[in-house]
Amino acid sequence: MRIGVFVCHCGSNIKATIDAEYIAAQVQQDAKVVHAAEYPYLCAEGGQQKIINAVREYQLTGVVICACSPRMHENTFRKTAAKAGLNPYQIEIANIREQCSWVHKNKDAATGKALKLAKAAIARVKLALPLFAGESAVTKRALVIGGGIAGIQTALDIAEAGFAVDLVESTPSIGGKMAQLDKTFPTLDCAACILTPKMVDAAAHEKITLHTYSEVEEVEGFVGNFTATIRKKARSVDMKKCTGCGACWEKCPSKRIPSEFDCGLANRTAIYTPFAQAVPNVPVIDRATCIKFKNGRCGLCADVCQPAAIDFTQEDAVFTQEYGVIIAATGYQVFSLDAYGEYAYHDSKNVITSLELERLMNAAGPTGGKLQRPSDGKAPKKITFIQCVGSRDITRGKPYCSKICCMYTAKHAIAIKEKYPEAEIEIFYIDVRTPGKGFDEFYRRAVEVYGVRYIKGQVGKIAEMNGILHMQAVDLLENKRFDTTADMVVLAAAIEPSPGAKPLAQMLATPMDTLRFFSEAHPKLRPVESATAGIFLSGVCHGPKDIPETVAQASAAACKAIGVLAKDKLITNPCVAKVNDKKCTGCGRCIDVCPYKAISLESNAAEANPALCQGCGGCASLCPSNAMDLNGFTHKQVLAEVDALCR
Amino acid sequence: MWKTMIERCMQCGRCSAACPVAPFMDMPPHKWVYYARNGEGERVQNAGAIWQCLSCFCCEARCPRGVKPAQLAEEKRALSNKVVLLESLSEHVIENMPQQLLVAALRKAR
Ligand SMILES: Cc1cc2nc3c(=O)[nH]c(=O)nc-3n(C[C@H](O)[C@H](O)[C@H](O)COP(=O)(O)OP(=O)(O)OC[C@H]3O[C@@H](n4cnc5c(N)ncnc54)[C@H](O)[C@@H]3O)c2cc1C
Ligand code: SF4
Ligand code: SF4
Ligand code: SF4
Ligand code: SF4
Repeated sequence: MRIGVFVCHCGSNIKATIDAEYIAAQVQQDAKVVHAAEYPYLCAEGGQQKIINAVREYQLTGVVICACSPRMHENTFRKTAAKAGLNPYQIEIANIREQCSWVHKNKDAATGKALKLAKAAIARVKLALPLFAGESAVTKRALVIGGGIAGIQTALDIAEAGFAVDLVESTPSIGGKMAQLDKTFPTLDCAACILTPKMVDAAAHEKITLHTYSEVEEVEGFVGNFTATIRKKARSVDMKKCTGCGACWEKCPSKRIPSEFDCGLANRTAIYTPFAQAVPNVPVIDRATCIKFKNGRCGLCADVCQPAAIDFTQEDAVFTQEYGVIIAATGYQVFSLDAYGEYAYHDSKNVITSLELERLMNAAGPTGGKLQRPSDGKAPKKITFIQCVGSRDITRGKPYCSKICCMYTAKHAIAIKEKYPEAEIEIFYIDVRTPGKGFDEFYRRAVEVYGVRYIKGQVGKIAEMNGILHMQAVDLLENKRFDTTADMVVLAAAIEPSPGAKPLAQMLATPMDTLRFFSEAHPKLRPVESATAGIFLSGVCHGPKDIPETVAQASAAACKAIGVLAKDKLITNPCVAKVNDKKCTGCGRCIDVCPYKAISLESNAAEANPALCQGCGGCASLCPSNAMDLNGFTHKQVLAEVDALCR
Repeated sequence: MWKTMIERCMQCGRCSAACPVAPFMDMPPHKWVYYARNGEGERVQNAGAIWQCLSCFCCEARCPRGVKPAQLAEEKRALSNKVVLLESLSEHVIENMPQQLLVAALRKAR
């Protein structure tokens, strides 16, 4: 074995804390190391050329790169090795940046540790065998989970590229939160006018299959070869027969169910579509509130339904389908204000959230777009907005800035002033955050053109007396505590990931952050990919975003997904489990531990399917007869590495 | 500990908005934190506000950053060397006051 060692400076990232020259000199004491060198940037073209030249000149059969994390550049250097004619699996990376120079301050100690890490990698590469990647097929179908604007946009883009897409939405209609909005910042177009055509396009697209009122129950497999189990909840209405005429919900006597879509500001019937432009325009029967399902009497909807579409006996339909890629687009919900008693949200009907205000301003909403106080239907003369409720709050709320509320509050203020120029508007803020194209100009228009009063400060307490909301407030620029009143208070409540996101992340075996937003593979360079191959992220499920950003990410996720779907074969990772059938006793314990169901028992010995195996190593560490091993991470290699570290 | 706690303050003013006595104070609670963080603790020490604070903890309950302005006032009172002798209080007060309130009251009394 002829080993070459290359130590990267990474500019000053490594060199400032680690003596690269010393490492290069020390590793040469190992008889098998025939060449060692250092370089400012190994990943740059010059650095890679240096490696290629050295492999040829010194006839290297193994290479150790002391540089950044393998997550960063393992692939880069594997390709370099291949170019030089070396098997790509005969390079090893010693991570002396993330796990050494970045976390240590003392140069001597860090250099000592870096040398140990280098020696461990050398020990490993001595035992490395050439490995050859296999291939696996790609199912040319995408699964998009969540039918908000994010999911719709991703589905449309993938379908436009010619691939089949299933769009699964848990509520009876696609559209998500955007369907609930009135106008949208910063251009004030009406949300429905720009969203409805997209919803209709998605429904009409020959490559898109909508599964509304449906949920994903199980996901198995890996990139290119996922299998999902989907439950279509019983709508109790035959989608093929229903014409969407509405006769049923007009007659339904169970009328006093708070409408989810109208945030409880209006009622719906037991058989309902969430809103007039719902896609599909087919109702569902909410069995918990339907009289027929509760006590057997009623059935009025079935009596009036001309095409006889109502079917009380319908059952949930469960089906499985194969997919090449999966896109999570589960969006968000408004954070519960239960912990904020001081704002009287639960005590006064006239204290509302911003999303509720969207419904009260919406021409299709419960008041036909007339701004009325929920308590008495009167037009409010003075409206107070309170920003950051539950956001930037590490004690009772969310540590992050919800990002959209500064802009939507400016939008609400302008929209109210447009309709009711006499209305007085006060906004309590901590900071006004408006980065974005045309955003700050929009906010300044609220102040300068519409005369909205922004007060740097907060409200500490709200109490309703005789229909007036009394507030204790502080104006920080005046450094003054004062009392103020309003007819209506609007709280910019924080947003948080949908409750369905966490179980979905578990199903997809893809990581979330501690706040339950899906994690991206790399915060800068791979913002729409999850850490799990073949799973992509779209919209607010990944972090707070407005619509323009959501749509941009949705299209980016589609683009990445198409990149997989367009391939006929995917290169598989050769670092998979391998059984020594002479040692295997056929105990079968590995079968139970494998999360990918890759192992089966064939004529008394286990066999690992290399297409299914993800190289997690669970079986190899568990096997009591030491029969299971992992290519590229063999027991021998790992032990040699540990030995080198302990020496 | 204390230092990192006051560093968390984002000067939102919710403490002062919540405080029932802030309208009567010469320096509202968010400013205590502001000055303490700027190394100007003596400005807080000299403010009349620390003697007006009720120790009701509204400020702490509402602070979104887990800062404790009332604790700061307590510290400044403790540092002020204003002493009241227990024997000057009536037996009824000593018997019936919760310990914490008694200590706070002793510090507040002049
Ligand atoms: C009051 C308010 C006003 C706003 N105004 C504006 C504005 O003027 N301009 C602007 O740009 N942005 C605005 N926004 C932000 C905007 O709403 C979001 O950017 C956008 O809706 C995000 O879309 P999404 O598809 O990621 O999420 P969502 O709209 O939340 O859609 C997610 C969808 O996934 C579904 N779902 C969730 N979990 C599952 C599951 N497990 N299985 C299947 N389906 C699931 C949900 O039912 C939903 O339909 C506003 C937000 C609020 C709160
Ligand atoms: S059967 Fe149920 S859904 Fe139909 S009309 Fe009666 S209550 Fe409504
Ligand atoms: S966007 Fe504005 S209102 Fe919303 S949390 Fe951030 S700073 Fe507060
Ligand atoms: S409420 Fe907390 S964060 Fe806000 S100003 Fe007061 S101490 Fe600072
Ligand atoms: S503890 Fe003191 S400063 Fe805090 S709210 Fe009560 S009176 Fe105000």
